Amino acid sequence: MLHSLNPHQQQTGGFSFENTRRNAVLESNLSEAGYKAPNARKTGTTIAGMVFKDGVVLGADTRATDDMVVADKNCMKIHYIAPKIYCCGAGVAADAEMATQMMASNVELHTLNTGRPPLVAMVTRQLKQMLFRYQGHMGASVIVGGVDVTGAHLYSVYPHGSYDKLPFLTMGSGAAAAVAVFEDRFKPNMELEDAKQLVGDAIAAGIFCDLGSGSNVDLCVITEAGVQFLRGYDKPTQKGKREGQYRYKPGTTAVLTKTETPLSVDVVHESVQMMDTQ
Amino acid sequence: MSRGSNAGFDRHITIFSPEGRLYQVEYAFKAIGQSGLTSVGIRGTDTVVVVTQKKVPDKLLDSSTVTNMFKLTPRIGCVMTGHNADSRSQVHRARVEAAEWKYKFGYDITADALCRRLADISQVYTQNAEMRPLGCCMIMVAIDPQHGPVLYKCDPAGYYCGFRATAVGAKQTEANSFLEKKLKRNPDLSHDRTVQLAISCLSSVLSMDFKASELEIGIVTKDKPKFRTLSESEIEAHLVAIAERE
Repeated sequence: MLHSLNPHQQQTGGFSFENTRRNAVLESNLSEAGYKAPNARKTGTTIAGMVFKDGVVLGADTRATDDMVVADKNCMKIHYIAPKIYCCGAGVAADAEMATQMMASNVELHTLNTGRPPLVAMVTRQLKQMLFRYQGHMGASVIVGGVDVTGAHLYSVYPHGSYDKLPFLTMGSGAAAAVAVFEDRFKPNMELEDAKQLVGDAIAAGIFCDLGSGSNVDLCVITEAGVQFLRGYDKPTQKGKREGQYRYKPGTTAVLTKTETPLSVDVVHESVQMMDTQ
Repeated sequence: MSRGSNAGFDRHITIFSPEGRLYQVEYAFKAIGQSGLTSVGIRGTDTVVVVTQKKVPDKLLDSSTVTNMFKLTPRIGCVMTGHNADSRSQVHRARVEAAEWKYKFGYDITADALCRRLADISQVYTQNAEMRPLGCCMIMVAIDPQHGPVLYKCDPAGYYCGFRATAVGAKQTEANSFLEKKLKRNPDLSHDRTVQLAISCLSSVLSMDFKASELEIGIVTKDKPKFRTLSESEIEAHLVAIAERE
């Protein structure tokens, strides 16, 4: 029963594009009538991650947008994949969510089969192979970070299936703002508190400088010892508390003079309208 | 449940006999001994070694093309005992499985995962009537990144297990008892001692003194975890060391 010498056989999958023509016709019909087809909800997003002395820190904002409207003020963009591997998702919310859930399921099966804890490299490999199969139509940009037997690792995977392995990474519409903070202050082997502060500041930069990101900062610290999920680590957009009372007390303004002028008002027209008080 | 109910086909294909045996699988085990060769594998503290006889029956054969040692991945090697063609088929399948794993998961397959995969495939042959089990047995060696030196054996019944030492082939019963005796006290097996123990097991069981050209030895060590076969001069050095000890 010799297996073929051919390279890895193509897995059939991806989307079927049979209905694209029908959809184009439907959309044009809708727009003629003045309606717009619904859009997939995107997360806008700033997500970031960095490797520090003892592990990785992942960070994300919490705003989900539907075009120009905020759909969710406090959504969760850091997803569980394995006990010590977490993943931040940007792009189309459903795609990111489903992709990470599929990865979590595959990883669980793999762990049961091999009896060993999973590798971050394995998650990245499967994720990028799946995204490549969908040729970018699955709009999930993901940062995968975790600690395994070989150490702490951080990968970013783009919707078309390419990936980067770096000490710090940012993705999403607020990536440019966040990466500027990293480029300025990142150092290898930082301490835990400094690392948390840096990631928090990077996400905050995305929150303030990008319209698609906002609300709070979520952090996830993964080390050999375990995972610390800090939901709502920083809330930079929370309304500040008023410092004091800004109402003027009655009597603040002095009354100098008082003049009364009666107005004579005549009745011109009188009409009655019955109300139905049932 | 009369004996004639299966019309005697339980001996011809892999279905159960009335006593609950799979005759075809048992015949496959007998086929392993047909080649007349015996192989031994031993796991030491930092080395795993597999040794097999190199019988070149025909003077016209080019002995450098005859081998039973195969590299499955750069870090996992094996020795095949039994039916030659079935051995090649299983080795090829193992290489394909290892390569697919590397492609799908991004890291090298571990010896236990590969052995389990081959055992699962062998099990399918014991259930399908249209395919016969393979008449060969694989002893796999590797340095596992987490567990260190490991030795696995996978047989035609679809059974696999990790071993401290094991033997397969025509004289496997004698070889296994020899190994049991030698390893009873859990001795500390250095690199040289492991190799020499394997060679002396074969020579004692087969009652013959080997020449370097009559043996094939494959090793993996913690310092050099890549699977390699020893050259004739290295084998000669070990044989000399054994002779000097006696």
